[in-house]
Amino acid sequence: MSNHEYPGHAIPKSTIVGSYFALLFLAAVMIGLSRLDVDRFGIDWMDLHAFKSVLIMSVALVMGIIVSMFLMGLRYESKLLNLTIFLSNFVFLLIFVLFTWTDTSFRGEVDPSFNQKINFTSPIKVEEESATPEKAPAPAAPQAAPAAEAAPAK
Amino acid sequence: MATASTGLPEHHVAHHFDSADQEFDSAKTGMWLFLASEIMMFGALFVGALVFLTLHPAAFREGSHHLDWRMGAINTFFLLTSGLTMGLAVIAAQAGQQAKVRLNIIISLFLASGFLVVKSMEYAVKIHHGTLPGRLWHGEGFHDPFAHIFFGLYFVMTGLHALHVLIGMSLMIFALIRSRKVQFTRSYFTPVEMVALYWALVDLVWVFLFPLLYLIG
Amino acid sequence: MIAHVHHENINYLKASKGLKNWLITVDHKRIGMMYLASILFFFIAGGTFAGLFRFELWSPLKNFLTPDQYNQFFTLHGVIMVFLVVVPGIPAALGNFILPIQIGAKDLAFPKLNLTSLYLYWIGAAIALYSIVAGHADQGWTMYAPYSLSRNPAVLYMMIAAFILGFSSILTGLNFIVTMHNMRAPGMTWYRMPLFLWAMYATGIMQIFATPVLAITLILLLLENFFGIGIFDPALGGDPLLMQHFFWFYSHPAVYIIVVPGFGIASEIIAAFSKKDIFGYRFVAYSSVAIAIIGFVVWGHHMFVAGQSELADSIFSFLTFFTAVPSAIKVFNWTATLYKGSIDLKTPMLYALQFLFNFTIGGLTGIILAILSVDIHLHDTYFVVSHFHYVAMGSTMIAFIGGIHYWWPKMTGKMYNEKVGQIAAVLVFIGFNTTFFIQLIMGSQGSPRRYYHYQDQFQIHHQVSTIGFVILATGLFMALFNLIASFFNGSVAPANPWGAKTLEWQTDSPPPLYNFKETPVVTHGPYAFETEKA
Repeated sequence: MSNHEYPGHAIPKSTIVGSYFALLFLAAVMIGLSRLDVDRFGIDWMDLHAFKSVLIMSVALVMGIIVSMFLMGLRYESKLLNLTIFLSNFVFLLIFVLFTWTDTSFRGEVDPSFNQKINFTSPIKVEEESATPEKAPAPAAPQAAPAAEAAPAK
Repeated sequence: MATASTGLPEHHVAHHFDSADQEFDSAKTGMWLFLASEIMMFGALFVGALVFLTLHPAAFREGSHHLDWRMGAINTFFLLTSGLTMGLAVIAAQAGQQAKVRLNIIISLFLASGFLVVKSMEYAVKIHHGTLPGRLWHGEGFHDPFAHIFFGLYFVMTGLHALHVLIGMSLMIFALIRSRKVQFTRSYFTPVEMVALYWALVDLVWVFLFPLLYLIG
Repeated sequence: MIAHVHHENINYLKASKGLKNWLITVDHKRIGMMYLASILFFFIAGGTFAGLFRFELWSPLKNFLTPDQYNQFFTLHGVIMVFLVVVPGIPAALGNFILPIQIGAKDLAFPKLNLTSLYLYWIGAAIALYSIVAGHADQGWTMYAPYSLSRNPAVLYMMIAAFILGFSSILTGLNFIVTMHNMRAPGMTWYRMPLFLWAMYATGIMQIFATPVLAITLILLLLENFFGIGIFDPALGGDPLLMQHFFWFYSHPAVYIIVVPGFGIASEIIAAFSKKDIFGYRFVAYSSVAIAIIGFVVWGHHMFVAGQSELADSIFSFLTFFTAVPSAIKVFNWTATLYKGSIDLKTPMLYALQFLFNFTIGGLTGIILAILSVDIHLHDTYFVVSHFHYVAMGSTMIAFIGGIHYWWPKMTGKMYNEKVGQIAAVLVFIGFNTTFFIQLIMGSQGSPRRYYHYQDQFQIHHQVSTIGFVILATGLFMALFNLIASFFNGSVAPANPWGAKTLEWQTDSPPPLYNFKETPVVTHGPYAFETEKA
């Protein structure tokens, strides 16, 4: 019917090729970071392992933004609707993870008995005596109150 | 741009739409909403993984060290490159170049199969070492009693992702068949565009899955 | 398109004949009717299970059900009512039928997808029914770990069913949102959309963003059952509370998926039968969207006594109070709409007023439950049961039934008997409140829910409740037979029996195949009763 009009906007070829190489580069950066032996630096006033993990995931986030904005063409949408949908995803997931975290990382602040580890059977036969949770025979407790839950391993 | 005359029929707008624009916009918004629900589904798994990571960081690290980052890197390359070829397929479809569309989709299909081959090689290693989810576990030499949960998560997340790779591949085949039946034009390239969007989602999930499972810890 | 012209003017019921033409139809009106029939069927099924255990509770000890059967029946009641009735309910049945007509479109954006969602609903429903014969599912509709990790086949079928039904729900929501964005008739601006559509929009947002989390929760539960992946299973070192987080991240928004469409119907009926523009249109519209969004940040209030951290408890309790704001805005606006309106107490209006009454009770008891310290006393008592029945049954289902009465002439082209409809509505009101108000009292005195045996002191409460159930069921069946009878001997409905202003009343009853003989042009708001001022 209306063949004159061109629906949506085209993503330029150069953008697609460019973002492809940017993604390859960032993937290499990510791998390089993970291979880095941070213990070598001898810094003990901050957790370099955790910092490295955060850094790697930040690179992943940048890659995610490149994929969505350029490969999926959100940057070139004439309407804001699709971008809004996509951003809502992040808002909802952020809500999900943050609120769940306020639970899982802060249990037993008032009543420490909540922090007691419940008995569980791991399929792993622990060989060294480094692990704390004592192993016990099968709990056989489908009634087990979810209250006493595994505490944050500190 | 005049389309090459391949003798294929042109697409007709469905009766309940007023224009090709409206039809395309609807398809695209619908696709984005569908992708949004897919992202929420994978996102929930990521939430689960992050909770596990904060509760049992040592177990997560131990599990992570049993994955081979080289395999992951090869697969990252496969997926990113197929994302590129799918993007090029869309551009070719907009220009009405059916042959080029087909070529790009076929390359993507090969890369996607490469991904699955590498993935099954990785699974074979896991099966060999017995680092399988809970009940099937017979792995040796682990120190943390929670480490098996890492592999539970690993199999769920990569398994669901691999399922999406399979779905994406069948969509590509669908687009190939469409390319033999209908002439793509500036105003009608919806099937290729939708498959490319879906495939970009598969890329997007992997971009986060790869570092989370293979590189952290 | 020219080829369709002579075809277009035949009403959709007569456009083609035979069962096959119904089963392969892509017409949103027929799909809506098939949804309506299926949902009413399951409403009766779920209600029957409720009746069975309601009578079992007539006396504290065993009457005619074993404890096992009792557990099984309340599980079935919950699963059927939630996943097969109230969650799909209004959007799938009435939304499907009315939404495209109200915006002046020929159909939904994706008619085939719409049919797919109906088939997914049927498949899911069939699997859910099969779980009854597959074994004894007694885990409750929430499927908490570790209750649901017993590798009980009935439970597994229920999970698969809920998973498939979730997809059906996502596809419906997706279709609605795309349709509302792209298919509005000329002149149909966002603020000329009837409030029912705003409610459908808010529902769609929640369906799309929350339901996938349920899907993944069910996948994880199934895998946990088969392989013991250990994420949720405490026996393997997993965290059962995480499962509750996952579940309620869906299921709390699902509560609003259930009730927000009811708001939409109430807005339509109250405006139409007060012959007044709705008071504060934009506030009612925005409050639907606000509820949808706030609904995503309150899920933790289901876990106050489950061992959630005190920090999370406090945050969730605090946030839960905010849901009262948009809900109250709505209630006040509806009341203000009634003020000085020329109120016509036809059957749909009687249901809408019941809705207003019941929702106020349901909402206020929700505030009571949001208070952290009070909830510790009331948690898992009949108070909670009563609270959510005031919302899910007293508000949503009542609005649904009101909506069916309101749009029945449009859907079937027949008028039902007004007197019988009114009597049924009054019976439903008396029956519902007798059944559930007493449960508030019982719960506040500490009677725990879901128990097979109970203390003697609560026998009188249970008996009153059971009598209420009988009255309620009588009213509902009366309404149903009244509607079905109109099919055969009702008088022919005019195009606009209620004198309402929204677009669906501008076309024939029942509407022609493509809804309108020519695409309507909208020049005024949905409730322009005051002599078309604007």
